[in-house]
Amino acid sequence: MRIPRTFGQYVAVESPVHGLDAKTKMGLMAAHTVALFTVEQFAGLAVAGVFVVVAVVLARVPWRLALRGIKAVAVILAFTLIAHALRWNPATVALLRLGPLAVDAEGLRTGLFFAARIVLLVVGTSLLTLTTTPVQLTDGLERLMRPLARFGFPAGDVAMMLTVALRFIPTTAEEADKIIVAQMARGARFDEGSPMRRAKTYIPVLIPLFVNLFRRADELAIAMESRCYHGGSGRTRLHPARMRVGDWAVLCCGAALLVTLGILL
Amino acid sequence: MALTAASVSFTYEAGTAIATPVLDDVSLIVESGEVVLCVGATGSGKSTLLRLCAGLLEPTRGQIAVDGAPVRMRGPVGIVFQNPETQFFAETVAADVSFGPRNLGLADVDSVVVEALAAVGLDAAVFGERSPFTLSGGEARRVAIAGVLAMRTPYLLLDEPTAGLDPLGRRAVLQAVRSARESAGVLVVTHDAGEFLPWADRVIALDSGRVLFEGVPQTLAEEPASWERASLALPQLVLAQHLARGRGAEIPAIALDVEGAARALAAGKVGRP
Amino acid sequence: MLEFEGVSYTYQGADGPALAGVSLQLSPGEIVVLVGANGSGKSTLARLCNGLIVPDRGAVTVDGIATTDSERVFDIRSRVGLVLQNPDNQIVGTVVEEDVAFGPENLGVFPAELRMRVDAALAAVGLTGMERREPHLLSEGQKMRLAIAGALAMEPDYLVFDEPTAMLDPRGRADVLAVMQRLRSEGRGILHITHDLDDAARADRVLALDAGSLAFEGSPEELFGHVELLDDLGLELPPLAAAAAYLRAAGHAVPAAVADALELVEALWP
Repeated sequence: MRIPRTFGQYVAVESPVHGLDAKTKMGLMAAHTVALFTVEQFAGLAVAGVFVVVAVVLARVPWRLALRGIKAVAVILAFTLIAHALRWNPATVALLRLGPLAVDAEGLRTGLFFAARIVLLVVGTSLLTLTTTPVQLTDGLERLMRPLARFGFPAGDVAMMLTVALRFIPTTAEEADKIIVAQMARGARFDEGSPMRRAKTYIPVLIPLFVNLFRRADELAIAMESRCYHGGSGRTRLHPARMRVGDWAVLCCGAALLVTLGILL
Repeated sequence: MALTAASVSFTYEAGTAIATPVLDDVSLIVESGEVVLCVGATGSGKSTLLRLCAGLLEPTRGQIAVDGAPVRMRGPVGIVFQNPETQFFAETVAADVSFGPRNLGLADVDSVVVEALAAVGLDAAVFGERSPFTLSGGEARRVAIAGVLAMRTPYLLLDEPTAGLDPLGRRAVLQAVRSARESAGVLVVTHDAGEFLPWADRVIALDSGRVLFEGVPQTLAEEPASWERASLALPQLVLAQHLARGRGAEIPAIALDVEGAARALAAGKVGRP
Repeated sequence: MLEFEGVSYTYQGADGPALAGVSLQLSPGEIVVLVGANGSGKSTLARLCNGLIVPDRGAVTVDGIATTDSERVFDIRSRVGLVLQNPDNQIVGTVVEEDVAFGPENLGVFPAELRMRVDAALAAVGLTGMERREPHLLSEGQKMRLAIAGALAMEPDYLVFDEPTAMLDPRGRADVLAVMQRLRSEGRGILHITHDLDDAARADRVLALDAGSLAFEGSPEELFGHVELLDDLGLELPPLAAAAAYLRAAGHAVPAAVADALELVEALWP
């Protein structure tokens, strides 16, 4: 019944990876992704794999959490593996045969290659959210989007929106929890009947939730205006996220390694 | 005929690393026709006790029973949460109040709704077709209470029923709670005992999940130390009489209501100017 | 000085005015309590104070600057802080110190000074040491003090509180009232809007609002002694003050606006 009170998957430990600027990590993540999509040999994946393993170890994130993302894509993984490995009446030597369907070495190799690529992609990217707080993420995002402001893109406002949304997720979750319990106490049942019927039983939860959210939004607007909010431009920050020398060094070396990897292997 | 909690303990996330004990060996009886007041500071476990009594949570140890049978959700216990008016969803007051009785499959829901609104001092002919979102604070709170009364449960639990209301709203809600005992056993949870103390039948004080005091309000009012230990503010009226005693005034029994307290202070002043 | 002069305001589509011909003054270093029942126009008045809405008739001025002066709107909002009833709806940041910094960040204050302002504001409300906490994990009373710190970081001369104690437990309420007293002693002007007369006993002055008009202005002592007026306003004496009224009727010399039990007993047994 109780919704976890801390949001996101951030693992609050101190590590060299946690200490990096969010922008550095986003850059490395981008390079990692590009490298994964350009490598063509298992050797390339192996090097990227070593990169991910080193990063996880340095980040002091428990393996259980680092690998948790794989569960979410298990179906895609299985599908990728099977779709590549299974062939219709292959001319090659089959390792396994089910009527006209067969698995051969070539297909299995391709399947494993693509599956491994997905695993490395998932683990690598989840490392970003595991080691970076939502606030650092939005700040980093704002900085990265800033050049777009020249073309009229409201980078500051988008970042503010994300921050406020993050701030209100736990509050809203708590409130939803309260309303559900209260309506259950008034005899509502949420676990019976056809999907259509079940959707209908959520009306007594969704309406108050929305009404309260609108009220909240109204007061929040007043509070923000009272504190001189006038859009994202011209704001200073208590903790300006700055790229330090170490950040640049890690970013350059890491990106160089990954890009070379993508080109060579 | 009673709602009973027997040596109830409760721990959130029991058996995990973040296990948080909230209640420890709490016992309590609410008989039909009486108002029991449960006072405690924020974090004393009183809201959890209420959820347990309504069957919305399972005790880690001990048992909660209604008239001898284990309590269950959607059973004989109605519960009014804090700020219940934030749970309105229907287009009209009547439709919102009818939600509970309809879910329980009660017969003749329309007259049940009329009676429930009357029990909180609202006329269904005036309020029935209004939108619940346009009511004043006190009206909204009373409609929300009516929504639970309409389930006709023999026991009624209320969490901070007067919190945040203006004086008129407060008075109307207090009246509604007082008259609820004609049809139910009532358990009120609050951190602000003053306004309930004069007419509650019994009171229990919780401190960090344990029962610190149980008895009649009169006796609790004679024990300022218990209030202090539970980090509760002694109602100012009661405190004034204790302070007067400290200055030698003769006050045989602490009065809980305004008039009684004023009389006790005046008599004390005459006895010892 | 924060000043209202014959201020009227009508919401679009409303039948009648929410405020009609209200005049009042708030000076630095005083606590003025504004009482009124629900729907008396209290929240409208709060929103007029810092130019969130502007009067239809009359004028609201802050140290001589009219709130209609659109070029000085940020100047006005940094002179008049507004704190609302529900702290959950006014906390913007995901971390305590970032929320406090929100106002001055909007004003473009530089990081070094931001740090000083945040630390000073948190110290003023007694939340030092909680800088890195997540706001939703604080108690209600702490959240309210955080909301006050957010307003204080703008370094306002006046603070307007709209029912800040309505949702709090007695301890949280006492903490917030103590913060107000401290801010007053620093020379800030406090306008405290409430429906709870208990909050008014220690005020320097009290104003009462009834259906959009000022129905009373005077000392707490005068208002508490005016029982019929309180009835008309939909207000009620707190229990202790009600007991004091009985004692006064019986000929005892006790103050009408007693703030706590000790004051009453000391008046009886000096």
